[in-house]
Amino acid sequence: VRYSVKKRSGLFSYVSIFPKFIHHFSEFDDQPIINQFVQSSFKKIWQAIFHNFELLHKEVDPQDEKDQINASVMTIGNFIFIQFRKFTLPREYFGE
Amino acid sequence: VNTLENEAIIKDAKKNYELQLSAYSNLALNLVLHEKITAFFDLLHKTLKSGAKPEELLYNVNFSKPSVKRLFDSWSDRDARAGIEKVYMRVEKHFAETPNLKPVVWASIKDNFLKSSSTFSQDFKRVYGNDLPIPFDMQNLISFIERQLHQ
Repeated sequence: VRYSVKKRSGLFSYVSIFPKFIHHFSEFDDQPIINQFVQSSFKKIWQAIFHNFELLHKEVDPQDEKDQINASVMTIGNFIFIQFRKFTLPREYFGE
Repeated sequence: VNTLENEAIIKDAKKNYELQLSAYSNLALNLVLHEKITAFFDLLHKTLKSGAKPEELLYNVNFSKPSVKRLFDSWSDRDARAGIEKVYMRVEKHFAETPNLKPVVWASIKDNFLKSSSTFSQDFKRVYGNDLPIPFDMQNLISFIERQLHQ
C-alpha cells in the first residue's frame, strides 16, 4: 500500500497489523523452522516499513507547507504507535 | 534476530522521527511567537555559532537594539494565546484519527518549546545582557497550553 503526502492518513495499515503479526508468530517460538523464518523476515519487514516513511519525505514539495505537515504528521503518528507497541513485543525484535 | 542490524534500522528511523517532530514543533512555535521572531532568534543563534563577537552584533542592522525593540513591539501576549489556540486546533485536526497519540505529541511540543526558549534566552543574554528583556516567558505560555488542554 502506498500512502501519499497529498492526503493525510492516520495509522498505516501495515503499521497497525505488524505488531499483531509478530505476536502470532512469537507463539510458535518452540518451533525452530517457523521461528527461523520469522527472524529472517523481520529485518526485511522493518526496512520496508521505514523505507516507506522515507519515501513520503522524498515526495514532499519543499514549496508546499501542507505536504511537509502531512509527511511529519504521518511519520510522527506511525512512529509513536510503533514505540508504544514495542513494549508489548519481545525485546530482541527491536535490537535492544 | 540480528540485533545489531535491527538496532541500526531503528536508530535511523528514530532520527527521522525526531527530525519530523522538531519540524512540526517549530511550526507550532512559529504560530505562537510569530515567524519573524523565531527567524530573528534562529539568525542570532547561527551568527553567534559562526564565531561573531556578541558586542559587534549590536552594530548589525538585524540585531541593533532599536530594530529588536520594534520586532518585540509587534508581538503581544494576546497573539501568543491566539497562536496556542491555533496550535491546539491543528493538533486536534492532524491527530484526530489517532487520539491516543495526542498527549505524546503535546509533550514533545512542550519539550521543544522549553528547549528553544533556553537557547533563545542564552543567546539573547550574550548579546544584550540585561538591557533588553525578552517579552515572553515560555513557562507562562506552557502553563497556558496546559490550561487549554484541560479545558
